[in-house]
Amino acid sequence: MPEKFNLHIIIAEDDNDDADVIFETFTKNPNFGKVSLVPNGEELLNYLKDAATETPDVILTDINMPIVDGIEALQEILNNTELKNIPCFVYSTSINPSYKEKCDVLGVKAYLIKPYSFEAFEEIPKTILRIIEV
Amino acid sequence: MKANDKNIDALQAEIAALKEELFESNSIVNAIKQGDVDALVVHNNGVPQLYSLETADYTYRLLIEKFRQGALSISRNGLILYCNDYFSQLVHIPSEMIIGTYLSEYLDNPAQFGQIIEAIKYGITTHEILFRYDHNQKTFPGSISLTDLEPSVEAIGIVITDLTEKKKHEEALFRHHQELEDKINELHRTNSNLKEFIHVISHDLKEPLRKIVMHSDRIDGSYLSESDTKAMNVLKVSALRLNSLIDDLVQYSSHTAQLERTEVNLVAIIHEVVDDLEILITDKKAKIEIGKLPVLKASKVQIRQLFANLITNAIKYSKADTPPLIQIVQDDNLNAEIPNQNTKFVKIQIKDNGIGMESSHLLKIFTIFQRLHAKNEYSGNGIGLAICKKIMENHSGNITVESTLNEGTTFNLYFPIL
Repeated sequence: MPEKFNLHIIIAEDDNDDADVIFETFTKNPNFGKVSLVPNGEELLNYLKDAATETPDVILTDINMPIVDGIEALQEILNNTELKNIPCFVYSTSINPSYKEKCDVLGVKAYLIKPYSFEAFEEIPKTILRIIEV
Repeated sequence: MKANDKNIDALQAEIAALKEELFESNSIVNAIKQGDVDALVVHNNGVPQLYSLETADYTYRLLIEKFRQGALSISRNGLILYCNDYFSQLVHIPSEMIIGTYLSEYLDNPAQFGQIIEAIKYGITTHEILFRYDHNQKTFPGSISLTDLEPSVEAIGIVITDLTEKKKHEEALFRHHQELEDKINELHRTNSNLKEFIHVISHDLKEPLRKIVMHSDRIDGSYLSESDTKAMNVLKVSALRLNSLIDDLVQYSSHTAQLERTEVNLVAIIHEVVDDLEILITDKKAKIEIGKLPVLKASKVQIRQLFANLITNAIKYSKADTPPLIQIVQDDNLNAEIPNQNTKFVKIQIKDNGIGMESSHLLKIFTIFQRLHAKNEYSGNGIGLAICKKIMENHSGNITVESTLNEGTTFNLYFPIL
């Protein structure tokens, strides 16, 4: 990597254990300067629409979440002229192909499967960087 | 005088002949009057000519009288001039009490009579209406058909058919249709329940399992006793195995769905599968021979899965010392096996030279999670062939297997010709 990015990522994750791991993973990666966490899709939308908060550079969201799920939130984000240029990523436990298809249609950059090891978790920020760089 | 006598004799003979002729004519007239004559044949200069009389068409009268439809003739204002036996049975009233009454009295809605007569003008002569019977107590559905007999006869001919049975059948048919629709709705509900179930196992069940796998890795093994390390390993391996079972179950369940059918070129699709399995094939030095195969109307995704599973299976259960040889051919001799099926089914065979199996195992292999070998001998959950069977069922086809221990196995695929 030529130079370090100082990216701000917002992550929507309802599961506390996974939130801890993903927060830790991104914080450890020097390319991400700020990591914000929200517990569901509704909070994600509130954060993005709130003028007081700065607009993040990257969005990563789980799918299965209470109140507003990841796909519903992405539908709103990717149809909003002010937000649709933010690169969006999805990560989910589900291997259900219908979710991936929905995400592809919406214009999600990548559909990632939640890893089974801490090493594989560390690949997530790297994969995201690789895709944004291109 | 003699000449006069001769004249008298001649005249008397003429009178006698005329009398005879008159008698003959009278008896013919009488016969006609009594209805004994259906037709007359008159010789005209040696040429026979047939004269039949309208009133003598006894056969037709009898037909009208006896046939199993109500028959009436009415005047234009609806007065019943004639009715046959069957109509009298239909309305449960003796015919002598019907003649002289009005047809409108026998209609559930008497006002319909005017409409029926009016409709003749427009060429509409058949209607389905309700008739009254049993002195207005009950009704039956019937069809009425009118024939205007004018100008020959000043009357309208009517045929009435009892539709009670037909309506019963129609209602039964309607009921069956309704039941069928209920069944279909039930099926749709079951299907959506199944989808929900797949979702639950593909996500909700896997989520905690994934955490078990992930976090058990984080435990610092250096502080564990030997037996604790062993127990930890069993936990990890079991969690991983449970996870792979869930993945397979999701895959199996999602193959229940009917997918879109397109033209599928089997040779092309098998080449794609062989490309996908390249590493495995090269590794095991497997040889795959593809014969002349047809184009089928099928689900491309499922057919690819079908051949991928069968080829993988053949390579997996190959002999340790013999490179696997897999032959995929169409068997044209289906007629010898099941007569007259050549036009209905295509039979595809996948033969291998692998370890084969005992015939007692043949039925078990298509059952989900059924394994014939110990887990450490051959990997897998025993789901591949269950999926193949499901795919063949989805295509209204069938899969069978023949095998000889230590010689090889042949899978037969029967696809219906659509």
